Amino acid sequence: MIKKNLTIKNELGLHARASNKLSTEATKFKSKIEIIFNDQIIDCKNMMDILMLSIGIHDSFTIKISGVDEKKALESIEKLINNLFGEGK
Amino acid sequence: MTYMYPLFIEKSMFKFLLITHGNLGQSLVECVENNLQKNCQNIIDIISLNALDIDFSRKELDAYVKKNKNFDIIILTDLYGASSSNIVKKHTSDENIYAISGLNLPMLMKAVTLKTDDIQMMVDEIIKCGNKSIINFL
Repeated sequence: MIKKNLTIKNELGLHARASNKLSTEATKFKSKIEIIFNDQIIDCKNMMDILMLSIGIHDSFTIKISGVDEKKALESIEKLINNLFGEGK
Repeated sequence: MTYMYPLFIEKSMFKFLLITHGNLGQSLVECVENNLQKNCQNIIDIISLNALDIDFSRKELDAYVKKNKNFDIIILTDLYGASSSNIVKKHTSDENIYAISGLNLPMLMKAVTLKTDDIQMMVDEIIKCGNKSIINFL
């Protein structure tokens, strides 16, 4: 099991399209992937649950991944976040 | 049928039918597509309520239900107590019809991103999402 704190860097935060990209990315992996934010634990493969966290720019959350491909999943999700979800800013 | 739109879920044995006032249903679907940035694969159907002729909308619904009798149909209406919901009541005894009122954007986004074939679970999740999305957030 891997746990890591991640910080959102894109201007719009985890808005609808970013939440969709994150859940789509998470769905590619077999591992169980959860986001822990403000005492809430949600399934990272569920777009609406991510959206409802209302995570903005500079907000940090914990990602918890457990499963056979946990390392690859973390790398992939970190890359997506560092890439600003392809939004450029 | 006034409007047809492809949706995400492939090879489903169920359909979503929106019954709404004005262009609300069409606008909601456009917003879902825009937010999710996807070409949708399956279909969602819309009946835009004809305020001047409710019988016309009722007939549209009856024809739709008859045509899709082999599908489970989740009907999402915009306003409970209004004609958009009342015309559905005739079909409450149909075992393949499920109806939810209070349609909003989160509910529709939830509906098209659900990853289950369990219709009752879909209905429950859509309602839960609708309720959860109403927040006093300031």
